[in-house]
Amino acid sequence: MRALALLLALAAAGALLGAAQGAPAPQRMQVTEDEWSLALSRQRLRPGIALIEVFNLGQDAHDLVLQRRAPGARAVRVPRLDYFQRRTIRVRLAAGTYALWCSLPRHRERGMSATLRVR
Amino acid sequence: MATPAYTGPFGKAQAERLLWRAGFGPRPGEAARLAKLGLDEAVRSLVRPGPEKLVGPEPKEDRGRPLAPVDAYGHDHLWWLDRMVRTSRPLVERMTLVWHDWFATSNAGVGSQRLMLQQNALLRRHALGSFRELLLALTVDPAMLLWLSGTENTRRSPNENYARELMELFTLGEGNGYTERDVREQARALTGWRYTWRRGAGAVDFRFDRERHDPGMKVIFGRRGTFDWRDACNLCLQHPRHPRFLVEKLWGAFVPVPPDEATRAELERLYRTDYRVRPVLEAILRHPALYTGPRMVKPPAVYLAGLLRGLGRGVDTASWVWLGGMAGQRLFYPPDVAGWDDGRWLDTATFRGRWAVANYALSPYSLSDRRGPTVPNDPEAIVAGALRVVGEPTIRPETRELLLRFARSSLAGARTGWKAKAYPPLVANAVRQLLVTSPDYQTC
Ligand SMILES: [Cu+2]
Repeated sequence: MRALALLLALAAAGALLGAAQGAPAPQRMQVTEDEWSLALSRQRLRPGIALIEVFNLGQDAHDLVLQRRAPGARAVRVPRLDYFQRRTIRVRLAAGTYALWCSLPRHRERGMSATLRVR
Repeated sequence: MATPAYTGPFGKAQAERLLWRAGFGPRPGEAARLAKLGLDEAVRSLVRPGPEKLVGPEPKEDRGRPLAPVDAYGHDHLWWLDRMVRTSRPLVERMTLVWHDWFATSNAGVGSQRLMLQQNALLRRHALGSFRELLLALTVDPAMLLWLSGTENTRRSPNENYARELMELFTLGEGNGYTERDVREQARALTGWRYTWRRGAGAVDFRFDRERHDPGMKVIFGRRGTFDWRDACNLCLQHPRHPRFLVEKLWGAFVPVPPDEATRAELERLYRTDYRVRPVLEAILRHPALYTGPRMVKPPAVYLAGLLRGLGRGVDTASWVWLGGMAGQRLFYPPDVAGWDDGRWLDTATFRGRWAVANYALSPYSLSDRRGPTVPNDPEAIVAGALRVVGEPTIRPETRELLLRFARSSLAGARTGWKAKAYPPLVANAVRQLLVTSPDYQTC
């Protein structure tokens, strides 16, 4: 218990230190694409700015769409990437659940989709 | 009988060679300090280092943000490069690189920086320890299971990839003491590993599944048994050809010419007792061949890490990722399962990469007549300054003479007028570039 209290104190001190040094670095996530899957390097992010890198390790070209599951939510699109190409997008995430998928014909159905939780 | 030990002078030049071969070169003053210890103590400090301390500025990418090794392309490379630059246990880090090359796994096939970094931690944990423990752990390491189809190898549909490389590249050598039948039977022994596919997360929960394992009788190297993956590894380790393979390959990572018969036999004896790597390394690092034999080309990652150590510069740009590729060594992406071909470290394409690496490494220190210290219009001072900025590496007198001749001829037309002030910094920058791309600095 004492160890836990100490850890929490250290974490709080770290947070203060971070605040004192200015804005924290944006959180990051990598989405690797392959036939036929998307793999996220993190399953959960915090609300706020995130740098999301899409990295195509498949043989075919793929794109990516990111959209919050909410009425009227805008979709963010990453254009088609060839093998080993990658692209980083900067997005502001709101709390909720986001769907990610490849929008090329039938790629989503074959398995190129994933869910990201933001909270 | 023990292996011979080097008995010649152990000065700064010898200490430098040791630090480059067994690590990533000296920080300024480090070679002289190591030389004072004498050979035995110097080697002991490398093979029995204390706890790791990371010395120097924290790594960051170009905008000053911290690295995200799991979440951003190239940050895996930068993260490890930083470890090479800042470590206080250079041999541990160097052996991690040796094992990465030995059990060459590429993220191009694995597709997960997280799993690659987990494997990297495993290599580091066993860096100077038992090859047996390393081999057992690596055989069922998730990145390796994905890379060489270990999780596709089942009783119903055996896959020979890992079985073949286990013998050909990891423990015995191509065609050395095994047959195609041994490959097939080893593959059967290795069956049973699987993962769970989780949508959005990829392969998770790697485990042994009895249902997928072939429990039947196998014949491997003429021995019969209901062997499993542990037996597959142990049979290779107990193979009479294995110690020689290991010793020669390990020796080759530190000395560019093969060991003599007596040395090889003694290294095998040291290794065979309990598969420990440390005593073998200690004997290699004390051996006369390391100090008196021909020079070795520094691998690109070693070259860059050492250049940054000499400069006192931390990892502060992501350019090292593409430059590493251009110089022929993108960490976590070896070209294939046989690892990097060190015959290509200095070909026309990779040398161009090294030239660019040198240029990028030196650029924050670039001199100009508009800022920074005044550069004297003096060839001797310019060459001395170039040596100082990279930590006073030892170079041959004839190399020093070539640099001087270049500085002299470049300054010849700049005795007076605007050239007298404008030329010296330009010449100094060029001399630095020529110094760190010279054969003396590219090899050790
Ligand atoms: Cu697709």
